[in-house]
Amino acid sequence: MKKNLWVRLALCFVLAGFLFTVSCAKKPMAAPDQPSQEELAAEKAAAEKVAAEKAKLEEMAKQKAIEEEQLRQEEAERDKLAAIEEFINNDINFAFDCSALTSESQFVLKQKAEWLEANTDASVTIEGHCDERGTNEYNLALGDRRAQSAKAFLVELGVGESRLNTISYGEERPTDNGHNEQAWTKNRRAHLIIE
Amino acid sequence: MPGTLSSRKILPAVIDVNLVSFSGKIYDSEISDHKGKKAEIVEPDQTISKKSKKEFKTIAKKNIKTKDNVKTGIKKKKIKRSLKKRTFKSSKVVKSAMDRLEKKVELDRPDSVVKAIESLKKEAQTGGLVSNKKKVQQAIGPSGSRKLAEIIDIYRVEIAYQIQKNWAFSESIAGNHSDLTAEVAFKVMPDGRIKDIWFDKRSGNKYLDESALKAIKKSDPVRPHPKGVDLPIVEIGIRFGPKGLK
Amino acid sequence: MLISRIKKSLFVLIVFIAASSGRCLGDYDYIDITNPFLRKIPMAISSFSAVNRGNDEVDQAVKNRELLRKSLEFTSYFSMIHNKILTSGNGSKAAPPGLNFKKWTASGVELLITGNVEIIDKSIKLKLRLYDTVNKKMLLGKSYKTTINNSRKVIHRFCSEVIYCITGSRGVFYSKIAFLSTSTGKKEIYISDFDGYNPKRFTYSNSITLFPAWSSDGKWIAYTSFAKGNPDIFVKSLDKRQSYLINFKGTNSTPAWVPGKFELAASLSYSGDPEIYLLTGTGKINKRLTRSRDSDLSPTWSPDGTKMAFVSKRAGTPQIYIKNIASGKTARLTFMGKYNTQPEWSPKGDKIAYSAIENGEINIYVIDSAGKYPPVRLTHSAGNNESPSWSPDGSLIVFSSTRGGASRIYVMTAFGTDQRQLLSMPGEQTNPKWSPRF
Repeated sequence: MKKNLWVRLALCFVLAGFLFTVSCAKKPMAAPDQPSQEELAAEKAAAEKVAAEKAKLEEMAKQKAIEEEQLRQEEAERDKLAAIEEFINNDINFAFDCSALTSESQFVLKQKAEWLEANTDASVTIEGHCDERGTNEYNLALGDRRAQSAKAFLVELGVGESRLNTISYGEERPTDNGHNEQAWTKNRRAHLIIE
Repeated sequence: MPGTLSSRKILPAVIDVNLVSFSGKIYDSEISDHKGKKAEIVEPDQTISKKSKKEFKTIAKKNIKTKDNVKTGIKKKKIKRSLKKRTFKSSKVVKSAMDRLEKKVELDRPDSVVKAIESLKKEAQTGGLVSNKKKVQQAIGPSGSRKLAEIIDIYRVEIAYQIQKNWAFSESIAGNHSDLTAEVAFKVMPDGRIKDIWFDKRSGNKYLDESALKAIKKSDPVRPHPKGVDLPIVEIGIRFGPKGLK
Repeated sequence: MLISRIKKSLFVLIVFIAASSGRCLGDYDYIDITNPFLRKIPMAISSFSAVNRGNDEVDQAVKNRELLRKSLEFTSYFSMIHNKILTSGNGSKAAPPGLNFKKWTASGVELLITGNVEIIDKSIKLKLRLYDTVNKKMLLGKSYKTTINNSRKVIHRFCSEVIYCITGSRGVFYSKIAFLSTSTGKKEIYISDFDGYNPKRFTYSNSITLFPAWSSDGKWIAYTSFAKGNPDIFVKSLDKRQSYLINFKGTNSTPAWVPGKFELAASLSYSGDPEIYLLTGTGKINKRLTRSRDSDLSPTWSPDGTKMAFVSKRAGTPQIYIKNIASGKTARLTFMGKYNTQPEWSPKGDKIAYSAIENGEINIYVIDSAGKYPPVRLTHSAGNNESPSWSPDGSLIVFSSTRGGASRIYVMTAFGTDQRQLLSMPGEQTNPKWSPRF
């Protein structure tokens, strides 16, 4: 007797479900030839959405491109500056009472020549300096000799002479105010600045 | 002309004593040679008695000794000890020589020569020198002269020291010439007063000479003569020769 | 014949004996004295007396006497003898009739100065006298009348007369000293009186200023300055009304005026390395004087302007050379050491002072300009001593020294004695240059 009860219940349910689905299915099918206003709007919105998203993506890509470009530029700038810094900071050093170029100095000057080749509109002033020992008069002349020495070498390497100026500061502008061998070595230099 | 005098130049320091030989040949007692050569003895060619020959030789030798001393003393110009002794000696010798001469001459000479010699002798004797010599002899006496000389020298050095202390000399004002010397001498009275300052040699630099003069003047009066020195004056000579700073 | 011979020899004998007799009492040897007790002239300046005894007068009497003493002492010729008893004035006349010279010479004094001050309204009357106490005579007697604040000039005038009387030259009282000082933070030129009194600022370049050089008439100063961004030589009249610029490309340095002319020698590096040229004061090149590889600089002229000493590195190290301008011949002067620079020719013409590095120290040396004798060192173991410059009479040398730490200006005699500081200002003082006599 129970079994029969259960079968009847199930059938009822199935029937109800059928009716239901049929009725649901029937509804849209009920208006296939007449789309509702809402349906249109929704479509539109969805399309717009997609478009917007696309645009957004494009925009982002653009942005990214720009940023990347900027980054590249900045890097290039930094490189350039670094090169300039190196150009400026890498002094050419000399032995006491000497204006002859050591092999190290020549190497440094070669690097500078390269930079100058790459930056053809740059003009440069070569400063000649001395350490504090010795007398002012002689040191002013010695600084002059050092600057000229560096200039001559650069010219030999192909740098246009008109781009190179020289000035001597003798012992008047030390870069290190110490009174020891270390300071003196630093001060005996030819220093390049870009104009 | 038989027997000529030495043809060499006779300097004031040279004493040529010609002992005249009756033969006419001149016996040269040559002491004037710088190098101290021995006296040349020129033998008279005439016969002389042996006795006289000997005498000549001995006289010559004596002369050589004393005159040599005397002569060198003058040459050096540094007569450390007084010549009282020496002059005394030499004049003694001369006198004795003259005596001998006299005798010889008297023996062999004509009267006129004898007379001439007599008159010369007189001149020599009254020349004033002998009297001086006597005074000095009296004052000092031959034995004490050496000691006295030392005392005087010490006194001189003392005074020189005093003068050095008063000597101010600036090289830069002098003009900085090196090796200048001035020789100045002065007389000190018994009471120490300085009298008569004179230059034996000027330096050629006015300023140096003046500084020397001032140094001496500033020291006046100095210490009086030391005991035992009984002289009217003591002469002192100082050579100012500033050595440079460099 | 015989008689005459006898006569002659006897006469010689007599003369000799007489002569020796004359010397026999006081025959003296010379005692040698080689070391003067004092190497300066002993001088005393008695207190000046105030005529009317007013307070002002007494004040001025003390001040002026002190200035006179200091100024004369500065010359280093005199050793001032102080004797309280002797120097106390009696306030009456300038030259008491019975001036007791003896008491002065007893304390060694050879020169005495007396003075007398009188104030009348705003003016002061100074009577000054110089005496030789040993020879007991007055050497100088002067009477000056001026305004009270001008008495310094008057005292210096009298000093000049004193020095002239004693040495024949007029001394240093009318001269000045130019030097560099970093008092403002940057090197500028200052000028003071010969004794360091009253330093006044001369340049306002507000940059690095170097190498002041006086023309021989004292009316112009040439110097190097970076005021226009490059080491250029500026030529300025002392009253600053006129100026010229020497600004060739490169380093323009170490100007040195030719004696008696508006012309100067300077080191210019426009040809590629520093060489010495002769230029007019307005900056026109007249002649090139050196032609050598490596640096040529620091010219200095002989007082007659015929020769020029300078520094050259032509032989490999900085050394001093002398060039005869007429003949063009150049000869090396210094052979000792590896670094001889800053030559300065004495106004007397006989010596050249310079600085040399030896064992890491810079010191001042003097060498005779003919180079016959070895050089003499004047400073010893007292920091770095450089940049010598002669006084116009060649008796003193001014220089800079770091013996006390910071660089200061010092003065010493031409022999290196009496080294003393001239002045002190904030910052460091260097490169002094003594002017000619005005």
